[in-house]
Amino acid sequence: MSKVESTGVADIVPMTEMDRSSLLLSPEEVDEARQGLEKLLDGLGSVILGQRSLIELVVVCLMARGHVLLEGLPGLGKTELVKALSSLLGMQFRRIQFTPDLLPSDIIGAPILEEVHGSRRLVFHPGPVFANLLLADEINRATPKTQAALLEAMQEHRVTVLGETHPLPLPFFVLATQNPIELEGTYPLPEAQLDRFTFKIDVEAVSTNTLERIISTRHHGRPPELDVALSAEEFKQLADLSERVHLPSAVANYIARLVSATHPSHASAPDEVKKYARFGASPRAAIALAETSRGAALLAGKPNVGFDEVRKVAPSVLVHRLLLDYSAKLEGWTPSRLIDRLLEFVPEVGRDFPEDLKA
Amino acid sequence: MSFNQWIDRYLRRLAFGRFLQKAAEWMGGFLFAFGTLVLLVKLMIPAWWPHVLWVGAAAAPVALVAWLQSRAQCHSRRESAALLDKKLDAGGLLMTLSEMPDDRWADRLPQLDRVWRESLPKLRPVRVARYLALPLVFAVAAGFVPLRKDVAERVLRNTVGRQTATQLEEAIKLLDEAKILEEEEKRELQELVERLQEETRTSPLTHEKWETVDALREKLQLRLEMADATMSKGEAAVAALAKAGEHQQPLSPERAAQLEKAVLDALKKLPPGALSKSAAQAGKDLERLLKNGRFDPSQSPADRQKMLEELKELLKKECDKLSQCRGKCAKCLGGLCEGNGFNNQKGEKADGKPGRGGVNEGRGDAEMSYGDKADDKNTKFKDVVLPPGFFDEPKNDIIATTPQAPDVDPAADAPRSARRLSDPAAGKETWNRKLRPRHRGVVRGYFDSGNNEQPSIPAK
Repeated sequence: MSKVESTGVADIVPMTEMDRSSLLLSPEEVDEARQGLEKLLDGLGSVILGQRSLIELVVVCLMARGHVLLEGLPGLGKTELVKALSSLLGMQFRRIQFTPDLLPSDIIGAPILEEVHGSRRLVFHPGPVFANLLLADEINRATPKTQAALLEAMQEHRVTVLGETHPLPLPFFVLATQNPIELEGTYPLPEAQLDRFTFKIDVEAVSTNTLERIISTRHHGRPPELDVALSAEEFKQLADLSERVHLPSAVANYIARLVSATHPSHASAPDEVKKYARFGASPRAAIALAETSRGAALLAGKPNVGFDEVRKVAPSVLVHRLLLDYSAKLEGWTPSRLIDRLLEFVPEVGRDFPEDLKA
Repeated sequence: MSFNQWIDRYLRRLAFGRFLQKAAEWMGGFLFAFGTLVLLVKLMIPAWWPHVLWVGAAAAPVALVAWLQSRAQCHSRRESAALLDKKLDAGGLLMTLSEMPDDRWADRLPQLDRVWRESLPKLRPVRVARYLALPLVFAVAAGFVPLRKDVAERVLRNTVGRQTATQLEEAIKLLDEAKILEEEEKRELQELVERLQEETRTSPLTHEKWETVDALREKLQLRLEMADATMSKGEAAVAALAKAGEHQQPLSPERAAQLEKAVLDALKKLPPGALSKSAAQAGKDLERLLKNGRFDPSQSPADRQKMLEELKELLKKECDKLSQCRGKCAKCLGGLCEGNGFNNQKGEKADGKPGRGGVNEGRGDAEMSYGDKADDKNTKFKDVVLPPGFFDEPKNDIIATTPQAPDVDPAADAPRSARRLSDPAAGKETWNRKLRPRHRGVVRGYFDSGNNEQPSIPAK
C-alpha cells in the first residue's frame, strides 16, 4: 500500500490518468481491509452480543483515529467493549477509573524526585495516559481540572509537564464512558472537552433474545478469551487505507451543508434548529464526519464515501456538538431528534430536482 | 455508452426539465397577463382591438427569459452525477469515477443500457400542458369575449359639428333646388356653413356655435315655410277668387285687394320659368299681370275662370313640391320643418299616433276642431268702446268730533273689500273683539274723563 503525498511538484505538474487512478483504492485493497475489519468485528461481536451497530461505530471511529465517548446505563457492556477491543488489537491498554479526588497528575504522570547517579533530580513518571488505548471510565465523575488534563493528550497526542513535552505512543485512542444517571456529585464534560470526542455513542439496552444468549453463554459474566485479531501495525495500515477512501465533492458538499444547517443563524437551517439550537457544530465536526465516513465506507467495502455513510455516522458525530436551548427540553426536543430532523431536511444534492421531472 | 456520457445525458435531461418547468411558470404567467390584457382591451379600450394581439409576440422573449433562468439554475455536472448515482444506488461509486476514473471499479457499475436508461428522468410534457391548460383556456376565452360597442366612436370629437354642418349644407342644396333661395342669400348661407365647418374641424361645438347652427336652421326653416305659406296663401286666394267668380259673388274691394296681393306674392315667389311651362295663353297672361304689378285680369269671365283654374293647379303643384322639399329637409334641419304646416313640428318618433310624443294639434286619429274660429275678414273681432274709468277717492276726512266713544262698525263701512262681497263677516274679527270687563272700565274712564279738549271720535 503506497500513499501518494501531495508535494509541490505534484501541485504544479498535471497528474496523468494513471496517476489519478492509482489514488483510488484497488478492489483487492478494499477486500483485504474489509476482511481484517470483519475479523475485528467478529471478535467484538463475540464479547458484546447484539450490539453490532455499536461496535461498528466504535471501529469506524478508531479507524478515523478518533476518540469515543460511550454513554449508557451501568452494565450494558461499555467497559467490556473497550477491554475486548484492546485484547483484539493487541495494543497497550490502560484503564483509569475517574473519581472526584482524581488529580491530573494521576492521569498524565508526575515528576518525582529521584536519586540518579548520586544526585537528586526530578524524573518524569508517565501516567496511564501513555498507552495506545485508554479507557476513561465514568469520566464525568472527575473534576473539570482532571478532565481538562486529557485535552492536550487527545488533540495533540502529547502531554506537557513542567514545561517538558512528552509525546504519547501512536496510535492513541481514548474511549471514555459516562453514566447518564446518578448525576449528583458529577461534573458534566464542558463543551470544549466534548468536542474532542469524535463520537458520542449512546449504548442502549439489548433485546430479550440477546439477553437470553448472554445468560446462556456467559458464566458469572466472564467474557470469552480473545486472541489478537489485528496487530497495531495492521490496524495502522487500515487507518491509512481509510484515509485514501475517496470523498466525492458532492458528498463533501453534503457534509458542509449538513454541518452549516446545525447553526441556528444559518439561512439553510430548518426552523426547529433556529428555534431550539443555541450553538451548532464546529468545523472539527465536519472533519470528523468526513473522516469517519471514510472509515464507514471502507467497512462497507467501498473505495469511496457515499451519502449513506454520512447519514450513518452523522448522529454520533453531531449529537454532543449540538447545544440546545432550554426551550428544547420543555418541548421534548433532544439532540438526537433534532439531528434526525436535520438529516430529513437537508437534501443530499444541493439543487432540488425539477418539479417537471419528479415522478 | 460510457458512464460519462450517461451523466451528460442525465444533465441535458435535467436542463431540459428545468427549462420546461421555468417555461411553464413564465408562460402561465404570461398567458394570464395576456388574457387579462385582451379582456381589458375588449371591455375598456375596444379601439385597440385587434392590435393588442401583437402582444402575443412577447411569448418568444418570455420563453427566452425562461431559458436564461433555467440556465442559471441548471445543475452542475457534479450534481448530475450525484443524482444519477443515487438513482442507480451506486453508493457514490459513480460520483467517484466521474472525478477519478478507474477501470478496476468501472465494471462495478451497471452494465446494461436499459438500467441506465431507466434511471434517466422522464420528461413529462403532459404535466407542462396541464399546467398551461388553464392560462391558455383563459387567454383563448378572453379572445372570444365579444367586443364592447365602441362608444368612443360615437362621441368622437367634432363629429357632431361636422355632421351638423353637412346637414346644413344639404338643406341649403335642397332649398336651392326648390328655387326658394335667392343667389345672394344662398351665397351668404354657404359662407356661414363653410365658416362653421372650418371652426368645427379643430374645435368642438360650443354653445355659441350651437346657437349659430340653430339660427341657420331656423333661417332655412323660415325661408321654406315662408315660401310654403306664400304658395298656400296664393292657392287659397286663387281658390277664393275662382269661387267668387263662379258664384258671381262680388268681393269687397279690401278683400279683393288682399286676395290679389296674395296671388301676386305667390306668383313672384314662383321659380323662374314656372309660368312659361304652364298653359300657353294663361302663362302669357300671368307674366303680363306680373309685369304690371297688379292681378287685374280683364278677360272675359270664362277666360278668367280658366286662368284661375290653371293658376290654382300651378300653385298646387308648387305646394306639393315644397311639401316634398320639406320632407327631405326634415332630417337636415333636425325635424324643424317636419310636418305639413306652420308650427306643426313633430318629435323624432312622432308618427301621428297617440302616445308617440312630438308636438301636434292633438291626437293623430282625432278630428281637429278649433271651435268658432275667426274668418279671414276678422268679422268676429269688432271694436267695443269701454266706459271711461275713474279714481276712487279715499274717505279720510274728519266728519265730526264726539265726546264719547264712537260706535263704529268697520265691517259695515268696508264695502269695497272684494272678499266682503262673498263673505260679509270678513274682517270683523278684530273690530268685533269684546273687551274684557276689567279693560272696559279703563277705556270708558278714559273717554268719560270730562276732558273736552281731547279729540273725539266721530259718531256714526
